[in-house]
Amino acid sequence: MLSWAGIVGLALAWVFLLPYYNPVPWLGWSLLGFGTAASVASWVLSREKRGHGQGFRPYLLCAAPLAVLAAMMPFPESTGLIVLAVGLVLTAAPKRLGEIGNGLAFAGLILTIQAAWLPIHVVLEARYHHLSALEPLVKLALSAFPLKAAVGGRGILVQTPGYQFSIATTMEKINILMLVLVYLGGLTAILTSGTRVRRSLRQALRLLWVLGVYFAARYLLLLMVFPTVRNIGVFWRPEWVLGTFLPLALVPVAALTGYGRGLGVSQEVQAVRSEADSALEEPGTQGSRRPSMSSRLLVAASCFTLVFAIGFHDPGALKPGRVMIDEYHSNWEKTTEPYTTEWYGEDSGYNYYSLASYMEDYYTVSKNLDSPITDELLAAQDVLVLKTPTSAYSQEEIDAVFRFVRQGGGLLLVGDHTNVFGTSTYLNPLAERFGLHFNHDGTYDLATDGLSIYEDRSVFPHPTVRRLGRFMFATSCSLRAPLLSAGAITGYGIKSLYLDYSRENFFRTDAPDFDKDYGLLLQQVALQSGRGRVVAFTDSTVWSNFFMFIPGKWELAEGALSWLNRRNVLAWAPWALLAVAAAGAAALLLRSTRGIAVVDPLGLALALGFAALAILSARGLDSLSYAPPAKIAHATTEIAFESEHSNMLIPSETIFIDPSSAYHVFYTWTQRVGARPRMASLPEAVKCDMVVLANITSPFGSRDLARIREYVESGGSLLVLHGNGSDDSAANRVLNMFGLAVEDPRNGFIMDLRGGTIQRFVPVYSVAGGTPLLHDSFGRAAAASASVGERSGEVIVFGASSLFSDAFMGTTSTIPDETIRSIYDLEFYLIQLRREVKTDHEQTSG
Amino acid sequence: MNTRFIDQVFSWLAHSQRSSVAWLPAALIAIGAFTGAVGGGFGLKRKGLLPSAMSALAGGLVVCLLILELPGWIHPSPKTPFGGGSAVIDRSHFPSFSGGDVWGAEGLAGLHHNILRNQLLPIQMEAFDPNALSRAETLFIIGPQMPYTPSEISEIERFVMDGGRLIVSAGWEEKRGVESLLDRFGMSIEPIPFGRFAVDTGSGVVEMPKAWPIAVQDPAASLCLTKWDKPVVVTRMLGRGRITVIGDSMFLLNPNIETVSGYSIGNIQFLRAHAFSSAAH
Repeated sequence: MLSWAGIVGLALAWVFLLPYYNPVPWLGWSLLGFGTAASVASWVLSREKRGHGQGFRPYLLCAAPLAVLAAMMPFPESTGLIVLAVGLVLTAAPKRLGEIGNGLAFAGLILTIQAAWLPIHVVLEARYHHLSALEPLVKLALSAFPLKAAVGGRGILVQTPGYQFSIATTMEKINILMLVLVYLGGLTAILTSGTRVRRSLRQALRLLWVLGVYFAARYLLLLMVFPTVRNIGVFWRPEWVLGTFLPLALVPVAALTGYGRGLGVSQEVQAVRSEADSALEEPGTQGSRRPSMSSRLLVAASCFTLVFAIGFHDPGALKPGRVMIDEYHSNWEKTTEPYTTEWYGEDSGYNYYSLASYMEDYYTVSKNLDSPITDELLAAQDVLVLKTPTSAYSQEEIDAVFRFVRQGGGLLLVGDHTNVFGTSTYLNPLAERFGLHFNHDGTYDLATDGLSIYEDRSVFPHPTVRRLGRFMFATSCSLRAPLLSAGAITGYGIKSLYLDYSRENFFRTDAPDFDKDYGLLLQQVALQSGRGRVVAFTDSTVWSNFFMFIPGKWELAEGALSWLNRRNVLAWAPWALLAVAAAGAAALLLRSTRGIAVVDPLGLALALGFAALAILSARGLDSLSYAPPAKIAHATTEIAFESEHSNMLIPSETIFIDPSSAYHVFYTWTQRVGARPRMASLPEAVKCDMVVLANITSPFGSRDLARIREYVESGGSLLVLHGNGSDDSAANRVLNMFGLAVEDPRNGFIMDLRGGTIQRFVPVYSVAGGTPLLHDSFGRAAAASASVGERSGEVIVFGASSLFSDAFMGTTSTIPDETIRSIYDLEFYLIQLRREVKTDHEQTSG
Repeated sequence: MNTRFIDQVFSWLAHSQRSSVAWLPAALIAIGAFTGAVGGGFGLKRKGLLPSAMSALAGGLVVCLLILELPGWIHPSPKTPFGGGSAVIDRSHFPSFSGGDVWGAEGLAGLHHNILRNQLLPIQMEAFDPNALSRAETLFIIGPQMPYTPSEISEIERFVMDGGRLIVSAGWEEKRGVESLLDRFGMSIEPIPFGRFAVDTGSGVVEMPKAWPIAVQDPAASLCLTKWDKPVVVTRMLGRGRITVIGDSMFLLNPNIETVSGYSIGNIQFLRAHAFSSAAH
């Protein structure tokens, strides 16, 4: 009972620790502690009953490679490896502590085996939510109760006298994750109990049957409860998950399945182990029990090949980089209208001009404005971008695109939430040729209902998301994709709300009892087809002008295009590697059946070490193959907003930011004068044409100060915005290096470029030194510049940075009145000033 | 549940109590008590007081029950069908409206009130009942999610041929439920989401919350409401009756017709013209 309770505790711990559904870390860790303690206690008690042997001690050697592997895994998925490694180390301790180490190693082994399932589960659940085959059975079971039910709609329709609802039977509602994790835990216990194979198999089948009955009963219970509580959260809320799974720990599984009462090692196995142990201790006496070095190397090589096959991404052959954006079928997110200082409003924001302009820095970009898509049109292209279509593609066009991909072309499909403007309807006939489907839904964070954040958690990130950090979606749809496609972005902890055609842009207002898929959903898929490649992305808004250079967005575009601009050359390689690994495993099995020992602790340690090496190799290959592309155009000004010492908010992880501290408009408006803004640390920032220090709040160290000085003296441009919660002394430490200072703050007005007053009352610092550029209503210099060094470096200081906050600049959809426009002009002046100075200097030098 | 209760109350009130049987309950109680007493006395001699008394009492009650209910089972009081006109709302095929929260956003209380205002009795049909149809003047089918069987469709067709008015309110999302039914009448719903829109028909503004266009084969069909040259409400005559298809499963729900605090007069007039008027449109 104790051992089973431990297994249930460990499995349940994963459900609350992992971010797939509704994580509750404290509960997860508590359950993990309970599960581990129960497993250790069970082990110790069992050993006391059945006698002591070496347990896991011979495997002490494996602790080191396990620790290395743990360091490569995401946390908390690596927990099992850590516990296992610690347990193995403790086995070396004498007596009771050694036994505890054995128990810990056993718990770690269960956790590791459970963790090994997680990537497989992510792939399966993200692709196969609906278990529609089970629905007739569920309906049959419900009809035994006073519930009128029918299979229909998007699942099962259930009608009670005063209420009716539709509910789909899905993997997450049944909680297949928990089912598999518990089963794997039980299976580990069965296999390590040392029972004979046939008996173990019988026990394993019985365990599956017991769990099947329990999970079916739980699901039916929740369905029966649903009409009363009317909240779909019963399937994922922690109290319901805990409440419905804790009783599983009390199920007399050992009695029902007949597997070893306790988790001890049977005498039978102990006998075998003792034999093996003695063989280890006395080499030469029983040589056949000791694997040969060739066997060990074969185990290690097979392990390396298997892991490398899993992590391998075809480097492909680089193509010339000719990208075509199709405008002919799209009148949304257009690339044709320049994002200038004269065009404002919502349409100017929901526009891909900045994306196209960014692409032009790296690729040869063309736009299809007026032609149907044909083979001839695509003949001279390497990548085709089909974004937010608002009209249908003809069958001939679909065929042409399909052929283009099969022959080596890259295809980027950009959809959006809730089939808005019919984007999914128009993309799907083409997407379905590749097994893809844009669903008619919108995705949101499950816990907060807000915009979802994605951060890659995979051991082998897909090349399209290698440089992606934390990424905020702006409401995507979800995708259906084939099993063998790459879920480049498999969102977790999110929910999918089916669209509502009666609402604006078809956004559904969620209701507690509205059925929804949740958990793992595909938000970007990459697949190889023939010699070509396809990327399907589900949230067009993230590349709109107002989001394009928010952290994560341009990196995603860069990753997708870089991957698509390659022709497949080694698409077969993973299969070949898997075949080699399988052949190795088969050879080992053959040796084993002949009574030749094939694995021992040393061999296992070698294999683990080679697995770590395979991970490093696959990642290294990706780094080499998918390095950032080289620029082919250098005309744009790169503006870096220093992120570690400055106080400015942009909507990188939430759109609900305090407007008085937000500089989203200022940041985005730099694009209107042809610049590319980005957030960067100082070492990265000084590689750009201009560095903005907005509201310095923490002092730079001497090394950083030297770096800033060197940057300016070598011709760089520094813009210091001061006055909105900034630290005066920290700012002056920077400015004093260039003979400038900010002082004497007062509340006042700034004079605009035409000599008038900008009617916004803001804190203004007087700028001392340099050449005055702007004045405040007191006649003091509110902005000044100083030229530095022979290479015409420039420092510009503006002492009223509040004026550039969103509180005064509005939003990226604001159509400015005269006052706001004068603030905008001020920004454009300060950003462009540097460019003019530089141009003048270059002309003079010339 | 509620209708059955009301039915029983009014049945009881409507039937005058014959004086000849007024004494029956008192007599039965007396018989029960007598039986109990006899049984109790018998039990005292044999088994003990409490078990015997209890069994005697239970036996007496069973006898009373049998005597009281037996006439009703053998010869139940005749049910008199409602003599006035009725409008049937089908709830037998998992419709899109809520049967419980009648004044909620997915309820039909507004429709019920309008049916009553037009001198008809609203009847919610929980199980498909041809008898209920045969007595109705109007049948409402609102966003069914389960398809009708061929025999049910034939019953509905017969209902229309005999002069009934059929109102189908469904969109593409309920296609599965209405496809075979509409197909019988030469109509289908097209997968083009028009979403929410309003049209001034001249006699009021009609609002469609979630409209879908309808394809209709009959050239004589009347296109009552169109958007982008595609009909979203179609009426066609069949036999002595009329079929009106509204390509919107939300059209008849409370927020679009009438709530406790407001109403949409254009939609109400539109509904009256198609569901309750005998004139063709």
